[in-house]
Amino acid sequence: MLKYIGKRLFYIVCVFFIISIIFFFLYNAIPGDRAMMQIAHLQGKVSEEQFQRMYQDVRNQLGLDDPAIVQYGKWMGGILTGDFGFSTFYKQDVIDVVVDPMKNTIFINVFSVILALAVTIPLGIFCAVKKNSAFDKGVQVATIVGYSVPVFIIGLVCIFVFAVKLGWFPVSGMGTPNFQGTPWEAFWDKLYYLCLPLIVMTLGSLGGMTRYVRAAMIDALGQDYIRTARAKGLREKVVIFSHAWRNALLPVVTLIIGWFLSIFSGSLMIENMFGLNGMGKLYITALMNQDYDLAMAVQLFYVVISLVGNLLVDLSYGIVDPRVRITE
Amino acid sequence: MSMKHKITSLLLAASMLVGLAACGNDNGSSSTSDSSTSSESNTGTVANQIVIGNTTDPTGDVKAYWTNGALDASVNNLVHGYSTVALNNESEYIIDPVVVKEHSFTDNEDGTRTMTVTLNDNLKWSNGDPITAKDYVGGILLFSSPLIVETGATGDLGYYFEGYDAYNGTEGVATDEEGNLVVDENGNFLDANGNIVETAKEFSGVHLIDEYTFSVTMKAEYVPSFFELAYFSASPEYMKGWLPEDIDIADDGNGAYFTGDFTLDHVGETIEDMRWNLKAFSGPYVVESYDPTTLAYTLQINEEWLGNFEGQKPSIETIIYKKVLQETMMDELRTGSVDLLHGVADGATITEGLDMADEGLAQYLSYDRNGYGFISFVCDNGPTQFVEVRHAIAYLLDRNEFAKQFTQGFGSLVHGPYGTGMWMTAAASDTIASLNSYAYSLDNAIAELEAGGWTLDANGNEYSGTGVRYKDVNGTLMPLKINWACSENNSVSDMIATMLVENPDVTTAGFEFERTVMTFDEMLTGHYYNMEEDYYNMYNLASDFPSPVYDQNLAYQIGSTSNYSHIADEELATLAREMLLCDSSDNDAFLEKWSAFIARWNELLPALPLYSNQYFDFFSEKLQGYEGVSGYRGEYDALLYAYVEGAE
Repeated sequence: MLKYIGKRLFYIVCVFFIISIIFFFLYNAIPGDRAMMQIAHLQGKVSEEQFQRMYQDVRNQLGLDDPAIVQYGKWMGGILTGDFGFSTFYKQDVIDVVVDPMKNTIFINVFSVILALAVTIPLGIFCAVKKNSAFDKGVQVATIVGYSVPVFIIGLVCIFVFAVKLGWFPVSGMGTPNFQGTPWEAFWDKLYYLCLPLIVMTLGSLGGMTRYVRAAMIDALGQDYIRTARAKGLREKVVIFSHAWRNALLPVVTLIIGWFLSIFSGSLMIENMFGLNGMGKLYITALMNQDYDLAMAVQLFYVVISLVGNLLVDLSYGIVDPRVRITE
Repeated sequence: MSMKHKITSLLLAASMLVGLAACGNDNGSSSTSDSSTSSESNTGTVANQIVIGNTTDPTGDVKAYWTNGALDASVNNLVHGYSTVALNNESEYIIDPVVVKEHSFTDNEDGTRTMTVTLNDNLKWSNGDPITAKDYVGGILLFSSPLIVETGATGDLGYYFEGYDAYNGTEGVATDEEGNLVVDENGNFLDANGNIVETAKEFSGVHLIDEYTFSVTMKAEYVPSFFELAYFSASPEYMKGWLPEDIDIADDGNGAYFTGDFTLDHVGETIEDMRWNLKAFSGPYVVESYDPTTLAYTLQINEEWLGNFEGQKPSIETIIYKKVLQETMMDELRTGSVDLLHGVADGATITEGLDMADEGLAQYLSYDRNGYGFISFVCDNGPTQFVEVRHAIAYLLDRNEFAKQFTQGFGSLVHGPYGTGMWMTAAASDTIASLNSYAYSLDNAIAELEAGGWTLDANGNEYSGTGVRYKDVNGTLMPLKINWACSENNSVSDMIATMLVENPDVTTAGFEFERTVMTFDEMLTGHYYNMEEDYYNMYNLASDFPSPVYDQNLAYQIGSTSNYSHIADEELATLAREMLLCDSSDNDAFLEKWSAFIARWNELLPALPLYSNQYFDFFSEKLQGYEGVSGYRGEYDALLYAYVEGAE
C-alpha cells in the first residue's frame, strides 16, 4: 500500500511538472506582452519617457528577455518557494489575491455539496426502491429537465422569482455591507445571501447525481444477494440500507469524493451571476485581463487538486470494496 | 415499510427546502433591518445610511496613484479633500476659502509663475492630527518621485511644476535612433555619454516656506493658462502614514526635499502598508472598512472635516459602496438593496430605470457626458495620413444611425472632440451647428478619394471601379487598405464592423479593411505609444473630460509624444496652444479660440467622432436633495447636500 502511494506520488510530481511546462508555454504563446499588461493602467497618465523606463524595468523584473526555459525555471522556482507571481490586474501578489476568493468558494461549496448529497442520495435510493412508480417517473422527468437546462437559466429564473418578485432573497452579493452583529449573526447573514446561489447550484447538480444513485441502487437491488437476504427474512430496511446501499455505494463513492474535491473550484457561471467573489470569478477575471501569473497559479492549483483527487479516489476503492486490493 | 421509506425520503427533501426557506425568512427580516441598513432601524427611525452600487470591481486600493477602478475612485473622492482649489457649483475653479487663508501669484523672470499659499491653521486629519504645509509639499514630492514610480504608481502629481523633469529623472536622457530614451539593463536612464542620469534631490518648483505656507511654481510652457488654477491645485497627503518617522521634509532654498534615507528599501514597506491601510483622511468621509468578501466599502462621516468651499458638511452618516452587476443592478434598486446607481449609460438599463421611475419606485436625474466615442486615425502613416481618406471613411459610416443605435436614444452625435455636457458645447452652439456633419454619402466618399489621387489600380493603371484603389506616393503604389485595431468584447467594435467594414459601399468605394481584435490594453498601447511600429491606421476609443480643464495643447503639437494621432497641422497646433493662453477669467476669448479649434479639427478629422452619451443616476425615494450632478460634479459633490428622508 505504502509502496503504491509512494509510486503514485512520484507520478503526481512528474505529471505536475509536465503540465506546468505545457501551461507555461501555452500561456506564453498567447499574443500579448506581460510587461505591458502590468503597467498598461499608466498609459496616457505618464510621459512616454517614464512609460518606457517603467516598461523596461518590468521586463527586467519579469525576465522577459531571458530564454524561455530560463523564464520557466524562474517561474517554477517561485512557485515552489511560495512566490506565485504578481497579479497585473489586482496589482498585488497572487497569493494575496487568491486568499479571499478561495475562502468564499470553499464556504459556498461545502454547503452546496452537503445539500446536494443530502437530497440526491435519499431521493436516488427512494426512486430505485420505488422503481417505475409515479413518483419515480416524476423524479426522472424532473432530473432530466434539471440535467438539461443550463444552470444560468435556472439562475435567472430563480433571481426573477425569489429575489425580484417574492423578495425572499437578495439579488446578489455575499453579505449585507456594514453588517452589525455577532459573528453568529454574521454567519447567518452570509448564509442568507448564499441561499439563492446554493439553491441554484443544488438544483443544477441534482439531476446527474440522483440518476446515478438510482441506477446504482437498481443494479444492486437486482443482485442475487438481495434475493438471498430477502429470502432469509430480513427486514426490507436492512436489505436496502445494509445490503443494497453498501454495494451501490461503490460506484457512487468515487463521484462523492470528486464532489468534495470540487469545493475548491469555483463556479464560473453562478459566481458571476450572483456577484460572488469566488475562485470561478477570479479565474475568469484573470483570463479576461490576461493576468497570466494569477491564471496560471489558479490552474496549477486545480491540477494539484485533480491529481490528488485521483489518488484519493483510487485509494477509496480499496477501502470501500474489500475485493479491491491496492498493491501496485 | 415502503411507506416509511417514502416518508423518510420526503422528509429529507422537505427538510432541505424548509431549511432554506427558514434561512430566507429569518434573514429576510434581518435584511429588512439591515437594508435598514437600508430602511428602518430598531427604534423605528430610518437609518441614516445609503448604499451606492457600482459595476466595477473594488480592490481595496483607494488611492488613484496605482489603480483606477471607478468604484475605488469614487471612494477616493469622498475621503480625499482639502484641495487648495475647488470646483464651485458653476463648475468654475476657485480658491477654497475653507482651506486657504491667503494666496498670491508671482510672475517670474524666466516665464514661470508661482503661487504661494498659506493654509488655515484649523485643518485636521480625521485622526485629529493637524494638516500642515508639509502634508501638501510631501504629497507632491512623494507622488512625483522616481521612487514611487518604481512601486507602480503614476508619479506625475507635480508634472506641471518647474523642476519636475529633473526631480523625476527624465531630464538630460539621451535618445536612440528610433527616438526611444536610452536605458541600461537595470532600467537606469543614460545620458549622451552613457552615464547614468541622476535625479535631483530637490524639487525646485516646490517650496516649503513655513508650517502653514508653501509655494508651487508652474513651468513656463504652461504660463499663462486658462486653467492655471487647476494646474496650481494641491492636496494634502498624510505624510506620517506614507513615510517612516525618520524621513522629514525640508527646504534649504533650492526646493523641497525628503531628508534621511529616502530609498525604496527603507520606505517601500511603509508606503505599501499605507496604500492598503490608509491611516487618516482629509475628505468628508473616512473609510471605516473594506470587505473583500462582499466587495464593499463602508464610509463614515469625518467629524474633523470643516466642509467644502461653501462650508457644506455631509448629513448622511454612512455611505456604502458596493459592487453590483450590470445585469441585475436595477433589480437591486427595486428591492432596496442599493439606494443609488450613478452614471448609468447602458440603453436597456436606462429604459428599465425609467420604467421604475414611472411606477414611482425610483427617482432619476440625467446629464450629458463630458466625453465622446470616436475612431482615432493615425495621421502620419498609411492611407489615413491623407485627409481625403479620413473624410471618405467619415462619409461611409452612417454616424447618425450609429449614435442612435449605440446609445439607444440616450445620446447624440458629435462632430468634434467634445461631449454634449461641456459648457463650451452649449455656449458655442452656432459653431457646432456649422460643422461638417459628413452625412452618409458614397458619392462624396468617392469624390474625396478621386480628389485625393486614389485613382489607380494595383498595376498603376486608372482605377476601373472595382477592387482596391491605389495612390502613387512618391513613386510607390499605396493600396487603400486600412488596418484597424479594435478591442475584444466591445459593442462599438462590433457596430463599426457591421456598419463600416462590412458595408458593401466601402468595397464599392475601393477600400479594403483588415480588422485585428486585441485586448483593450494592447490597443491602448498601440494608440498611445505606437509600439506596433505604425502598423495600424485606426483605433476605436472613447475619451472623457472629467474636469473642466480642456487642455489639448500637447495632444496636437507637432512631434509631441502626447500627439497620439500624429497629426501635423500648424494651424491646429497653434489654436490648441492659443486656447490655453487666454486669461483665466476671459471665457469669451477662450470660447472664440475653442470654436476655431473645433472647426479646424472638424476639417482635418484626426479622429472620427461617433457619439456622446447621456448619463443617468437612479436613486430610491429615501434619498432626497440629491441634485446637481454633471459630468464635472460627480455623485460625491451631490452627496454632501443630500439627506436620507426620515433619518434623524
